[in-house]
This record gives sequence, C-alpha cells and structure tokens, in this order.
Amino acid sequence: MPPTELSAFISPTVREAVFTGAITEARITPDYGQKDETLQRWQALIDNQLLEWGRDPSQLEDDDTQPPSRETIALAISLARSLSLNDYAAPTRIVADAHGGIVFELHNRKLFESIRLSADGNAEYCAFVDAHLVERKPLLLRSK
Amino acid sequence: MPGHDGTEPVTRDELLYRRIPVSKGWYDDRNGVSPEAFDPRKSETSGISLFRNKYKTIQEVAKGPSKGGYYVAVLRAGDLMKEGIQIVPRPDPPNVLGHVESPGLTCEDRLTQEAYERKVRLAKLCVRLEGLFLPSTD
Repeated sequence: MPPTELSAFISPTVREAVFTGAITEARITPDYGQKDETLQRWQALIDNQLLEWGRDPSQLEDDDTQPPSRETIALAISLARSLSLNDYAAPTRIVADAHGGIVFELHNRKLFESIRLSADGNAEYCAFVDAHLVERKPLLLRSK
Repeated sequence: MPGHDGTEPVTRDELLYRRIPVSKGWYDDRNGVSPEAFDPRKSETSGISLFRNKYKTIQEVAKGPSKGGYYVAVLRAGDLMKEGIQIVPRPDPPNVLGHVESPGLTCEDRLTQEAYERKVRLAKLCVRLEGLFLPSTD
C-alpha cells in the first residue's frame, strides 16, 4: 500500500501544552472549552473506532453485510479530520453500513443528520426532521 | 391450521422482530437503534426481513450466522401501518413460518428518498431492544 494511503491510519502528533503560569483557571473561555471538547470527541472517534477498523476491516463482515475497505476507512478518517478542523460538530455515532460504506450520524432531538461515505468513494449529506428528508446533497471530497 | 400457516395478514396488534448483528454497532444505549439496522442487505431483494412474535420467540429470532451475536429490535405492526410501511407475510415453512417482509425497502431501491425516510422512521418506531444474544453454538 503506498505511503499516502497509510497516512490516514496514523494519528496526528499530540499537541504539546505550554504552561506559562499566566492563566490560573482551567477554563479560558466557554467557546474554547466547547471547541476543545468537540475536537476531543472527533479524535476519540478516529482513534478508537476508525483506526481500529482500519487495522482489521474484516471485524465488520457479518451476516450478509460487506465490510468497508481500507480505502473507504482511510477516506472516512480524512473526512473526519477535515470536518473536525473546520469546527463541525462531532457525530454522535459512526457506523459501517451493510454495503461497504461508513455513515457519520448526528442525533439532535427531532433533527437527524448523516454523512454516508459509500464503498465507491462518493459522499452524501442528508438531514431529516421527524424522519422526513429535508436536505440531501452530494459532498465533494478533495481526495477523489 | 387454516389461517395460521403464516400467510394470514399481519394485524395491528402483532409485534415484529428485526435481528441486528452486534458487530455492526447499529445499537448503543446513548443513541438507540441506527437507521442502518433497517438498510436492506444484499439478499433482501424483495423487502427487509422481520419476524412475527406469534410464530417466533425473540430467542429463536436471535439465532443466526453472526459471529458476534445479535440484538433484536421490537416493533409494533400497527405503528408501521400507521406510517404507511407495508408488511407482507412471506413464510418459508417449516423453519421460518413467521417470516414477513417490508416490500418498500429493497436492496435495489435502498438509495431512494422513500427508503431513506423509512429507515429513519423504523429506527424511531422501535419500542424496545432485546439482547445481547451471544452466537448460538447449536
């Protein structure tokens, strides 16, 4: 596998904290705290789920369902990193679909949003309100 | 017995079961059942499979080829009918007498707007979830 494909499975360097002593309270601003929490949530999903899937995609092969390929998982990791760096809310769940795709789900009361990354590399955003599809659009991924 | 061979129409008061492989992560306590649990699989060409509780116990439904075991989602037939989701008996005696299908959700049409909405609706209509049922050894 070429190095470029492998890169998605390698976590970015851990940020180093520099303690200056100038700020004594842990919470700097409410926004900062929320943003940091969102980034941590994204990173946890990448580290604990997507990277783990990438090590052994066959763990998702079960009962008439197709597991995502390493390429699809790598694309999902790239997408997750891109969304996290652009301050998008972290999904409440990431699941593999039955056809080799990966779905990012965001549940928020009556609103349900999903990004489906299909096995062919296409990505699609959907928004549902009370189970009615209110928005559906393809997403253009740079790596395609 | 006439009328009880699995071909009789599903009634509103019946409970239906959908098997969900644990390994796919389609259920968690925080978010409930994912719509992906109702995504038609490759073999579900004429509709997603469910089972009637008048013919099958949850434990029987939970027996399948999954290597990680299953959850079983429980739905009320009346809730599905109210939402316009059709349920058709498709018994395959003698082993799957209580088998039914929802012909509005097939593998071929799974990417249509209707299919997307039905999947989300079905996930919301789950009245409860049973399991985890570990893989059967028999």
